[in-house]
Amino acid sequence: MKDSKIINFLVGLFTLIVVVFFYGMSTPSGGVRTVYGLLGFAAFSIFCTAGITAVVWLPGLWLLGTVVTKTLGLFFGKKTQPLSTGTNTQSVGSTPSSNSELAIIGYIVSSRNLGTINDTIIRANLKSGGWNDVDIDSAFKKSVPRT
Amino acid sequence: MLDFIFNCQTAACSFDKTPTTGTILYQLFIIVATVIILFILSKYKKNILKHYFVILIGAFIFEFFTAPMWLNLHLGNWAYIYHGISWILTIGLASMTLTSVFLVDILLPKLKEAYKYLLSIVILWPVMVIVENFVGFLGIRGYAPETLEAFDSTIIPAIGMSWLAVLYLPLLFSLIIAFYKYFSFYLDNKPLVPMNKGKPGRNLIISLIGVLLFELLVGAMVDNVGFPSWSYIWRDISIILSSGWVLVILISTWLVDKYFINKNLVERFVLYLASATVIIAPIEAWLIHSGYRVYLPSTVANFSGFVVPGLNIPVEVIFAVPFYLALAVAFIRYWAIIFDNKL
Repeated sequence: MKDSKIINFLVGLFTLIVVVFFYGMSTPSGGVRTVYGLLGFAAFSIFCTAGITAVVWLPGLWLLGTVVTKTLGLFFGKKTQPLSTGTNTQSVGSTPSSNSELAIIGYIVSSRNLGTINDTIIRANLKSGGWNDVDIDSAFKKSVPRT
Repeated sequence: MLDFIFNCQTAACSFDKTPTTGTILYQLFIIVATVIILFILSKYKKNILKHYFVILIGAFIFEFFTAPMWLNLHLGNWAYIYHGISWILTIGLASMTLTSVFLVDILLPKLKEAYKYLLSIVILWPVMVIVENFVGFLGIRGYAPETLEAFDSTIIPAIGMSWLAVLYLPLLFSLIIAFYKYFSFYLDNKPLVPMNKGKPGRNLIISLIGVLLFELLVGAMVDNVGFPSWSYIWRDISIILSSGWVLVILISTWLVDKYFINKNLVERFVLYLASATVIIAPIEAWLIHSGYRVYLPSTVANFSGFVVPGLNIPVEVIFAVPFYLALAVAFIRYWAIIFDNKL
């Protein structure tokens, strides 16, 4: 099974537990007991039908997780810092050696993409952020130069 | 809504939901005004719904976790999403906040970020005073006994509210707006300088302000008792406890920024909350068991009665910690970002 399918399944399970928990909090039996009840019911139903009801539970949870992740993706998707390090033909350096270097390269690339500040200002901003010339030079070398 | 669907039977759901003509018209006004506001603002800002969604989350966190302090009456079953929390009032709060923030952004685009932030609050303050008066007039707004006690102070005759209640409003917006603005950097894809060396003194002051704002916001829900008398700076707010929260937040944010500096703002925010919750949960449990933190009756009435195994504290406390922290941490990180980036 692909990682994304497992993640969607887990997100679906988590969503169901949260919904059932809050539903349960509005009943005298309480939230936690309702969650235990749900999990027990699911396990019991799968066990008693020799696994047949898993055909309903597993795809159902995967579907619920997919809907939740897709919905969240509409708002928060594809926003990782745009990096261009090594794979682009315009790149002149090697891959980043640390998270810090990735962060600096990310800042350089996104500032350049914005197009409102030049490399001198980018360099000055990074220096004011506490980075030394070696770090900055290395990151610039691994970033795609302005065309 | 959930209470209606699931037939809520606890005391927290037993209040007068019978709508009146006035409350129905008010709800219609909120919905229509929200649609108009979003339509107008969409001309000025791309992805306005995403921005609105973030403010909505901030407003909802506030409404949800301060719910024991307020009563929202006479709105009709359709208006309640959970117990006394109304989705219509939440979108109303979010729409007002969005309008104020964008009004400043559109009219004064060159203004420094800090001034924009403060101006948004200044605009919202009188508007919210009027709105609070109006919902009181319509019979929608009621208060828990602890809230009335917390706001017990001289009434300002011109506006019919106690001065403490009036001062509470900008506190509320200071956290919701900061929450929104933190995520707006992400939504706008704004390049932010990664910080190698932070400014510990400045971050300490910002964190202290953020924590104190947060303590003031939830002051009517929990009592901090048993601390040395000299440590109380305002009512039950103890500088000892506040300093502890500040320390935890500083450690959490420092660790995340050090080891996950390449992650985007949203990912880091989740990590801030996760790491701070892991540290705070056992401390909160110890404080509750030692009698230093006493949750007040209206808050306890909302608890389901189930406890977290091992920590032996109400499950709601564990659920609430990251959400409470969300507003305070967003405020702290927002101010650190605008200072670091000279915005």
